[in-house]
Amino acid sequence: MAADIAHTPDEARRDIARGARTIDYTPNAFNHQPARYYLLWLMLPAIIVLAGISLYPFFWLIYMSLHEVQLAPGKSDIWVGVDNFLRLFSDKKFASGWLTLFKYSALCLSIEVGLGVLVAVILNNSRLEKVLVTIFLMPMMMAPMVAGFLYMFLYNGTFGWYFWLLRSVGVLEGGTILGDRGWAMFAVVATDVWQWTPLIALITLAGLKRVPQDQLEAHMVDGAGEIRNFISVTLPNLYPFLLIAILLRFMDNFRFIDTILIMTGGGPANATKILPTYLFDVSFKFFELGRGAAIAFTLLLLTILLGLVLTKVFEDPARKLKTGGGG
Amino acid sequence: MAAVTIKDVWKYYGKTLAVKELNLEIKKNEFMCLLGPSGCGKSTTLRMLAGLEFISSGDIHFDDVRVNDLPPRERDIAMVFENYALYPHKTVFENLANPLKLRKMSRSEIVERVRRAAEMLEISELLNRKPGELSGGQKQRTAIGRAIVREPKVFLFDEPIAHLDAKLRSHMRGELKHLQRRLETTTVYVTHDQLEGMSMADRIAVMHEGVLQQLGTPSEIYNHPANEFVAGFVGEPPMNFLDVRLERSNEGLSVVHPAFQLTLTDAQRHLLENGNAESDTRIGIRPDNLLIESGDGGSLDIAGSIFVTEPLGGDMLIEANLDAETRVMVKTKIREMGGPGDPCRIGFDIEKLHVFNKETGVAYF
Ligand SMILES: Nc1ncnc2c1ncn2[C@@H]1O[C@H](COP(=O)(O)OP(=O)(O)OP(=O)(O)O)[C@@H](O)[C@H]1O
Ligand SMILES: [Mg+2]
Repeated sequence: MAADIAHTPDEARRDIARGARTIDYTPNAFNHQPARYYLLWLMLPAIIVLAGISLYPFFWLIYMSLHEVQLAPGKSDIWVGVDNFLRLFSDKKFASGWLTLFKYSALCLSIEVGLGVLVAVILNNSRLEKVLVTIFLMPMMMAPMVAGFLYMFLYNGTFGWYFWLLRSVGVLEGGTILGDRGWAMFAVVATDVWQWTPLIALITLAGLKRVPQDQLEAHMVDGAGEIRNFISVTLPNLYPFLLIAILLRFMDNFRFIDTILIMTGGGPANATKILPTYLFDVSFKFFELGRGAAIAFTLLLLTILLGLVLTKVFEDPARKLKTGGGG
Repeated sequence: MAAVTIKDVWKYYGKTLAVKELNLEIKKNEFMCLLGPSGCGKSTTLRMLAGLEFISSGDIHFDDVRVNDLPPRERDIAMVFENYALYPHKTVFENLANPLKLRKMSRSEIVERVRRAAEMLEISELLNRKPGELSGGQKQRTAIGRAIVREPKVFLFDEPIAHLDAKLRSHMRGELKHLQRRLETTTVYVTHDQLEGMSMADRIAVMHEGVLQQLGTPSEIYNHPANEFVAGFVGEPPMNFLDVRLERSNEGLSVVHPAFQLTLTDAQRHLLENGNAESDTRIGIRPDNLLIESGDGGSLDIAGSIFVTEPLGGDMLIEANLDAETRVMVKTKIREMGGPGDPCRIGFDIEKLHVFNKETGVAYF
């Protein structure tokens, strides 16, 4: 009979329906959640709204990517199957868009994370922490487009302050910063770094506050110096925070094109034409919405995939510590 | 295995004074206990020895080396923290191995040393577990293990067994003492539990509000407390204190209390005279050194009445009223004492009496 003991309200009701006169109901630890259905009802409005704003466009995107979308009123879209996707394989700009995006994103992320952690460590040991944090927050508050304009002016070949600086020091020999194929990429990366390093620093700072002091002390007594302490105790404790920071920034890098559109529009000679800018061109300059949707779909797919990979990499600091922290 | 010298050490946290002018010499291989109530500066002292806290002024020497400015890793110490401070992501083995790894010991040597330490502490079966999967006692053994895998100059223990249950604590007291004798390493042991200090230490340093009150062997501390604080802090149940007057009489010097009068011994009289004792003083007597008889027909001097009795199994604690304002605690072996309100007679073991200066708390004897 033991197997027949009711563990959920439903099972108990079943027993009553079968004619049981007493309810032999032992909620067990795993499904002791009598209110599940009513929770679902509570969440339903939110789910519907969310589905409306995220699922509907998603399916619409897939629909578009499989059609040649007609813009003229009255004309219906033409079904082309996976043609839009197949064409991407032979699209040189598509491939180079990806390449540039990876380059841009990798540069931004590595500099921002490195710098952000450094800034956080310095802030954490500083007496002026509160004041400095407020100051550091300012770039983040700025609309990306405004940041784009700001830097465009700073880089400007006639009155730009950075331009003047680079020229005076002698590293920039001719031309302008944004007009130079080599410099343009660094210029847009610098803008992103300026604007978003504070975010990473802030998240890391929150993480630093949570690093257990006693473990740091024990590790110091065990024989570790400051740097060793940082690598073996602080960093593993920061992983969850870094993961959030990196995820946020990496997804933003893959999506945000405001600053680049303002500053270079993808130029010069496609040096900063990351995939999203190309997507913008295809959809809203050439108005090939079907092909644009196909590009967007690949972008979405890869963002999700990379997000998952990142989560995996940072998932278990314990395991990383075991294999990587030894020696 | 080093001698530790603490010389004129002061410690301020901002404006808070945590340790005041501390002087302490810990001999080689000695088990020194820092004893005192919460907030008296024990941990602060220990952390200054470890190098985890800056010294505001003064010097600390390990043998002849001044260690004031050395970081923990250069002091060659091992410390057991009150909350164990194990690395949660590492297994017990890796926790123990950590200090050895950081000192670049060879793999085979590490394995051997960890194995030996684990055997000594009976945690060999737990080496592959993580701290989250251990009981309090096992965690504590692991923390001790991490300290003894090396042969450090000094062991520092900060209330390592405070969080264990009473039975395990008494077991670990024995184990720790045995371990220290076996490893022959200078040990500084911080605790607020006077029983731990009394039972384990070679010498005890009693601290109160950042000030060293008395330094001595457990028996010196117990039998000859330097002041009222030490007298009251050490010993369980605590000493009885009574305000009295000293009066000369035909027989010599007497202690006069509204409820009783005691004649002091000649030796005690000399000590008081040499100390220029005021006539208003305070006496202290341990519950063990009071005698008690039930009923009012006995031979003891003072008549009283029982307030409450607490049988402790072997012994019995009795609180007795001497008069309306005076109540004392007596510890006795007698089993049949009657109940609250019943009359009794009480006597002092005069040899075991302590007399303190009422203002300063300093003991005359
Ligand atoms: N980091 C700190 N900042 C400011 N004051 C502190 C700090 N650490 C300790 N103190 C103060 O210094 C005094 C001594 O503290 P300490 O930790 O040495 O006490 P303790 O004897 O170890 O007490 P416990 O038995 O409760 O651990 C206390 O008054 C405490 O409030
Ligand atoms: Mg403490």
